[in-house]
Amino acid sequence: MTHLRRAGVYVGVIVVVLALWFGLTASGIVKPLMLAAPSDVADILIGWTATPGEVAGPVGVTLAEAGIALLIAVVLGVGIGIAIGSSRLMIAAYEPVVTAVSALPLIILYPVLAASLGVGGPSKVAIGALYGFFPIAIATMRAVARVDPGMLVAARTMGGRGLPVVGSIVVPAVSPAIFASMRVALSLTLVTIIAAEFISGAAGVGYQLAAASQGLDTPTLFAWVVVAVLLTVVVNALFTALTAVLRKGIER
Amino acid sequence: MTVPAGSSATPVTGASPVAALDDVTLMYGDVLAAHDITFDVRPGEFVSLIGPSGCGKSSVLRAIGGLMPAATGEVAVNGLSVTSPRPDEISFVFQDLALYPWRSAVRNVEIALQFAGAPRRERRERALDALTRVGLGDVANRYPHQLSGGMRQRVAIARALVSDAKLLLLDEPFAALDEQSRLNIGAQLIAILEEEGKTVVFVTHSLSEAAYLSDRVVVMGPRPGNIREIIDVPLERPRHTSLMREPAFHDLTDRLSALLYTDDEDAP
Repeated sequence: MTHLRRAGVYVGVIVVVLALWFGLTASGIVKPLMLAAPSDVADILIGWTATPGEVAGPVGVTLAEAGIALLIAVVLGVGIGIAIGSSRLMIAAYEPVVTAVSALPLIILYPVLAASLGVGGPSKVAIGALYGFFPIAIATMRAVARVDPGMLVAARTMGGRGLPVVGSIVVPAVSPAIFASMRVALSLTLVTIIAAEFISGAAGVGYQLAAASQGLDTPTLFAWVVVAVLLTVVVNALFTALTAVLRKGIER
Repeated sequence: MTVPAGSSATPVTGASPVAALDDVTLMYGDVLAAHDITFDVRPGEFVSLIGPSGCGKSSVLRAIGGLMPAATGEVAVNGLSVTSPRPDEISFVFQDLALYPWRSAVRNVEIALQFAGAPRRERRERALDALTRVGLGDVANRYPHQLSGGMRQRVAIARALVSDAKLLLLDEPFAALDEQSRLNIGAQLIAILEEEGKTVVFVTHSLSEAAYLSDRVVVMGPRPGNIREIIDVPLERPRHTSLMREPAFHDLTDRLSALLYTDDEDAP
């Protein structure tokens, strides 16, 4: 019953938004160059179903870049986070530094990265990984520093030391915090990569948005926006499923 | 040893001590935690350490377990000076239990065997056996948050029993339980420990718990703690809760309480 009512609320809002959109374009209050008519956008989306490669190509490029960037961010963020969080001296010294750096608008580094790595995939991956790294590293170092010392002392009395303790106690103890930060990192990485593709590049969803925008092809631009939204929803759902599997593996 | 020598059952007198503390001083940084600590723990004996909060009784336990170095003096277990934890000889149960919430009961017990390097195939069987001995064989796959306080307590005890360590150090393990459960679990614990020939050092602030469970009680004075007196418990084993209504038991707890609460003018 509540599910039905909730679905009703969603449907209601969507209907209202679509109706407003249709009203604004059909009445001529807003020019088609500013706001494409829903029917024109729908035509393009339906047209793409006949040639799926037109969408799959750019989406694949963006997804691959985001996937590699997130992987780099996780490996470096968790590794460096554990290294810093394990030492009282290191966390006192570096937590403020890392937090301060993460607050910088790191996108300013994109021209530098593009100059050294080129305007292709590698510079997109680098800027995406940079944005993904900070939330993961910060969450990991804080969580590691707050692992209940009683758990670690108990491990010592049982003969646990070094990497086995990290693997069996520290990592499972901090994994909820890491997974939460990975979700933030995922969104940041995806946004950054699409933005970087938009700024310069010849492939990916961001490039398609830029091309449609610069070609004044408003219906295509809106169709790509719809694709980008669907992409984000699907990626988040996949991430939820993936973390459930990963957590089972880690908490062993 | 002012109480007349009774027939304390299990301890083997004359055998070389399991744990020996000789004129031990313990420091937390620059702060003196305990001083002039000298006592032995004999094989099979159940020794309690009691004293006011902050008297250093837990520090003494940590020193025996190799978690805290002696500033001066010597702590020896099985004749060898203790400098670090010795998991094959000494096991611990902590006040906060230190169970791992993402691990089921049986996997909380297994981790002791994992750290000890026991073969993977053996671990499950031995862990289940230890849980069965503390009466938790049927809830082995539950997680700590699905167990009652008393059951969690017994999981921690099973984890300490699963290794072959003969010396068990318990740091106020029943502090979180109500008086009735703590005496029940204490009595069960004693039965298991006697069966397995374990030697126990037990830190508590409960006089009746110390009197009910121990062969000897080491009474410590306020911080920085030292030993006021070591009292023999002349009560027969096996003990039953009805013992607590007997005059001999009250004489003992009265004596402990007099030792603990009199000399307040000596307090620093």
